[in-house]
Amino acid sequence: MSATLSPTELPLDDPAWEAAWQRVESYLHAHGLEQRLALVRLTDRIVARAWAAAAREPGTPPVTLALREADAVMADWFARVLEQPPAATAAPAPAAPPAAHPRRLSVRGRIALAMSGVPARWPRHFLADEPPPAELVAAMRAAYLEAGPPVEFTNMAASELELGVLADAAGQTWEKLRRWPLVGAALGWAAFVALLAFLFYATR
Amino acid sequence: MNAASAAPPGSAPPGSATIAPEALGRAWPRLGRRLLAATLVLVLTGPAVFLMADLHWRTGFDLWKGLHLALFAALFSLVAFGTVHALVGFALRLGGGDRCRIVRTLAPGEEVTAPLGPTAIVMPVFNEDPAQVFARLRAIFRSLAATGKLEFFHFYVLSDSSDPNRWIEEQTAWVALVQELGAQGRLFYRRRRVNTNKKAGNLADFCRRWGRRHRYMIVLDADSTMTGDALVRLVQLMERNPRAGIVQTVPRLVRGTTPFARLQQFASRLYGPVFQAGLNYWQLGEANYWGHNAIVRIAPFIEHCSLPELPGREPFGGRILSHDYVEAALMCRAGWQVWLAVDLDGSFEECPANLIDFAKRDRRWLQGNLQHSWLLTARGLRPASRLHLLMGILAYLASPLWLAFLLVSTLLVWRHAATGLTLVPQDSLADLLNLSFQAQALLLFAGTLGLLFLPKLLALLDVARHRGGARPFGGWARLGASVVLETLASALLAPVLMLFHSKFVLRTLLGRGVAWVTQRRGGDGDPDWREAILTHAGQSLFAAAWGAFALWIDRTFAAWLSPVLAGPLFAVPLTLATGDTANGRRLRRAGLLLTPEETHPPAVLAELEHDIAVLPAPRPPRAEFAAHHGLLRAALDPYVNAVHLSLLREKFGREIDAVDPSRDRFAPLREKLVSAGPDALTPAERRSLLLDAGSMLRLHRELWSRPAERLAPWWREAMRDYQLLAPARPLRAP
Repeated sequence: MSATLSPTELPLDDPAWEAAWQRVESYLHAHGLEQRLALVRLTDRIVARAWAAAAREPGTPPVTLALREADAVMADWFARVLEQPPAATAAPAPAAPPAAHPRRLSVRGRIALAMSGVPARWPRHFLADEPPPAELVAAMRAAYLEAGPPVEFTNMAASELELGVLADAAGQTWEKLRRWPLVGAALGWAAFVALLAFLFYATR
Repeated sequence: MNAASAAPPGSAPPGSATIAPEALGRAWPRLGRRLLAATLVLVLTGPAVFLMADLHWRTGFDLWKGLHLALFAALFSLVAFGTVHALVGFALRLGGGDRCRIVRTLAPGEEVTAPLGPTAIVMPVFNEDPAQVFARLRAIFRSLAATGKLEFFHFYVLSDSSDPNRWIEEQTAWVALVQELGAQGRLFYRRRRVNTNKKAGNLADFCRRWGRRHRYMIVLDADSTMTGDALVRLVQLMERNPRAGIVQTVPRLVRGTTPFARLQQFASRLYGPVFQAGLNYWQLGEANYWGHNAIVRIAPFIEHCSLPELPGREPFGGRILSHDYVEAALMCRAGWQVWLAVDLDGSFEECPANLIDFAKRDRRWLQGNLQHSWLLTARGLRPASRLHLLMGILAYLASPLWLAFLLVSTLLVWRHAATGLTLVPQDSLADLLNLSFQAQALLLFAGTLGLLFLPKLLALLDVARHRGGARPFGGWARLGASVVLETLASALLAPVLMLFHSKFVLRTLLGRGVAWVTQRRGGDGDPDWREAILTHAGQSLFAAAWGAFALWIDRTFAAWLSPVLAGPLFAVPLTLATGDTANGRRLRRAGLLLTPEETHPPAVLAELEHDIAVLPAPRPPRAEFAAHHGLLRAALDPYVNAVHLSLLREKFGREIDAVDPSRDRFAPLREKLVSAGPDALTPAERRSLLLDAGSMLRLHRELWSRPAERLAPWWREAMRDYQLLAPARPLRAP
């Protein structure tokens, strides 16, 4: 893939393509690609692919086409970096794992990018057509995110606890009062009357 | 003065020769120690209660006075119990330290040669500030790495955060820290989808998943910091004492910036060591567990410490909230020892910054401790465990008892004034001693004050035992001034807490929670006027009415009562003044309320402060995005989105590969979110989307690939903002 926008093809007067270009640039910038030249070249390349695709899908908005192409370029690059066996002449790199579903590969690729800092360290090679340097491949393949070690489940059953006679009685009473609110209210009234009686007696 | 006496206060007292674990076990004159402590409490309480009874007898005894006397006896015995801790602790430290301390099973500075048991350092978090949480983890990790023993430890951040903003911040901060420290495979993160049983459930979840991989777990709170040496030493203690189930350290309060936090940390630092020595004296191997900054032997913990449910429903029944006390009790019941590692340096925690936040924390603890009344009579618990549970209950129940005591006192004075009767002379001890009624009352008052102030005096004497002991507190002049300031502030704050606790107890007993006004904070965490007024208005009105009534009864009585009423009456300015960081800085500059951790900060704290000061502060989200900035980042940022998706790993594979649109039940929600903005969804709907891996992947694509005119204005603006300020580094700590 080596598509680039030629001056005659550039849809300079179409705000929709201007928006698409900006969106792709923003998306690549969000990946940490800060070097202006690399950013502009890569954006041009992706928008050119989208421009070519527009002829086949005239009704699709340019932004949608452009981001779809950006995804495709990334997916292709992730597959090459993370899943293809290393070239015989290349420096040793960790063995490639089995091929993953494209969506999962996208997630894994983005994490590998984040962990190895590829867009900042190798801006020229990020999403480039030519084979990436072995060091980049090694860094990407070595990058992983481990949220926890393998789980080894253990049973942890609640301890038996006999609360004792008093607490058991209190618990049963509690439950009864909850089930029979009228009894609870009657007891509350009785307690209130008893309090008044106590006050009467205590203040004599 | 010998060399040991030049040690800084709070460090291991002299006479720290080692003791074999078996000898430590044999040396338990447990009953004798407890009988002595109980006798001392009785010796202090008995005469005071006698004098009070005698005082009431002189004016004619009745039911109200009986109630007054009973309340006085209960409260005085609690104060005496505290004083006995200080007295015994001081005497022990004066005599070279207690023989029976678990730290003495290791020689000071003993080299670690044998491999340590595999240990998990677990930090449960719940909506705490991730920047602070991960800064502490960084400092702990580095300190541990410096010991050369990192290989025996793994870190687990166990999140129960329910706020999506916090949740996403935690994930990105975790990845950033793993990258920074090169801690892949050593620093882990897990967030539970359902917060069953809160913190206890979070720890149990860890034990069920990964408990088998580790021999010990060191439990930290989100505000805990520990030195690598302390962590290694804790593991060594467990290895040396195979019957120890839990070893609890005594965390020192640090990093307080407001006057309130600095008061707390100064008081705990100065008065703590003598109290803790006294506590260890009677607890021995049946100490308590405070839930953090402690090491736990995992196998017996899994076997014996899973919490049962209590009868009834919350707030009084149901799931046990204050799990730590119960876990210690269950561990002891199973025959394991629980020790308080007094004199083990390097354990720190932080304190709420202001009175309102402190009361909020107490609200949770109070409800949990009151639940423990179910367990007081539970079969098989050790007597010491029952006492811990009881003291935990009384720690909060003392407040309504104190309030009741003061109210009954007011009633007695009013009744006396209203009747206009003179005293009826009756035979009493005071007659024999030729004490007037007023002199007897004053004697009682002086005795109570003496008991309250004696621990402070003993703590100062303990400092004086060491050459230059006051220097870490700023020198004697500043230390003296700080003690006076702390005493005055405590006198004002204690009655406010009394009213808080009384309200909490009442509401808990009525089965109701306590409603709080929305927390509104100043830029640096200070409470604002609105929150302070709404929180304290009732207390101030109550104090004003009480004061006016006391004044109407008798001016002298009102004067006696005024120290108690002053705090609640001026609670609003008190909360604002003591919660103000500028005031805290002024105190620090004046050299008041200094602690050794401030004047000579340990490396781990110095590094933590440096990191927090030097690391770039996260750019706060613009006001219009602040409410949903977690969702914004998880949906827009390619890296945050990828990390989020990979952490939803349990359902990730299934959801992410799903292609059947007819089964995509979240599609309408996503469309609503993209075309109408996050406010169009309920919090539950937003959470559902965040928990659905397929939705988050599609959302990321949808937002980036949809033309601007088909996006909600909120998203358009968010993308414009994001485009301008996209992260310079792939992932940053928030």
